Amino acid sequence: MQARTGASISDARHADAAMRAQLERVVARACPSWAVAHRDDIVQVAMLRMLRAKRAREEDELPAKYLWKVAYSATIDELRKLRARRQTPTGPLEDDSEPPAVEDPQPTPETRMHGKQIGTALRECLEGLVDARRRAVTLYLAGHSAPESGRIMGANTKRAENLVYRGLANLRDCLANKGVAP
Amino acid sequence: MTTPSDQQLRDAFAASGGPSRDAVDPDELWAVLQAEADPELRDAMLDRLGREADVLEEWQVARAFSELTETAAAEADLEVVTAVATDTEATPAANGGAYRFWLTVAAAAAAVLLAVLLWPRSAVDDYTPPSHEIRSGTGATIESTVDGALDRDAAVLSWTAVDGASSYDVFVTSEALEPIFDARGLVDPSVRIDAARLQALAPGARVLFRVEAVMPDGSRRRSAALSAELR
Repeated sequence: MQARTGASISDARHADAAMRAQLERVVARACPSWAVAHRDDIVQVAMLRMLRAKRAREEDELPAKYLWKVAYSATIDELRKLRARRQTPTGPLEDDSEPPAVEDPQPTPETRMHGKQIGTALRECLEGLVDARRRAVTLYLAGHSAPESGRIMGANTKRAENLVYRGLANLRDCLANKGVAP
Repeated sequence: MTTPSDQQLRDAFAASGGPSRDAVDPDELWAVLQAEADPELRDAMLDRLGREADVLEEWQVARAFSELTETAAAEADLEVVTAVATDTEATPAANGGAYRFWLTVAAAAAAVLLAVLLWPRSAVDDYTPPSHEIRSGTGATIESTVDGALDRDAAVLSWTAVDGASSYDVFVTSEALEPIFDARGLVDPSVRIDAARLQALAPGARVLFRVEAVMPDGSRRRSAALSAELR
């Protein structure tokens, strides 16, 4: 194997640093609020997996898409571990110095109760929609635009817009019938 | 009684999912998001997305990484173009192999062009596109229609429309390939860049951008790397 020159090592370090910076941004954006205190750990694990994948295939230039998929899998694994620990608080923790999870600013009990009522009613109404509308509205509520929803559902944008529009109208009617208002 | 706004519905949706019985397969979730899953799996996954809080959390993670892979693909294309430009500016001694390669490519292209120009022309070749095709600016390839340098306080990138495109995604970087801006789901073939995003760039600097036209069947038509100068 050819020895790596000082310049190529420096380039590789720059590339790794840039990759880490991007990873930090993505994890910061996508990390659930209950796991915010563990963001650095998640980044670290994902970064290590990416570097390991790169090292394992040093001869080939791995496409960035592949590496980000590796980081995605690592992030999901870490979130699941954290979730499992969160759901069994009496179990032994690996690290006693673990920082407490950062919670969202707490709303008042009334706001929380009201939010819960809207949430329960919303789920019931969503379940009552016809399949295609329910899935389009689900994607919309998850934050997708109509063209994105169409791409995921294998429908064109016009149909996706139509499904979202009609589905939301049905959903609002259902919520109104249940007496739910903001 | 007022009806809940879209944002209130989204907030309620994010806060109210139920627990998951079993975890979803991350690869399957990724495939659904990439529109690469079969319809049965896709529908089952979307149904779980609508019910289970854990699936929604993981979906958002997958989505964030998926957007990063799209940006990475766009940057990789831009990198190739930049590398070609750099190679042609480099001296033969400093970059011998690449210089010779691109010199060979350029010589071959010049030979083909010469052959085409000198080839005897027939009446069939004298095709002039109808004026409406020229005026409409539609075509198979996506070209920049930016006219002159961009005003950083009102920078608008624009490109030729693609017939039948449902929307456009655009990715903008600096010449050093630092991401500056991206926008998705654009209906019109143009986008305005916030002045704040361009503040770090000096007058005379260029931005590189790539456009993807999203077709109704989900396929994409990608432009080459386009560029525009900042005033």
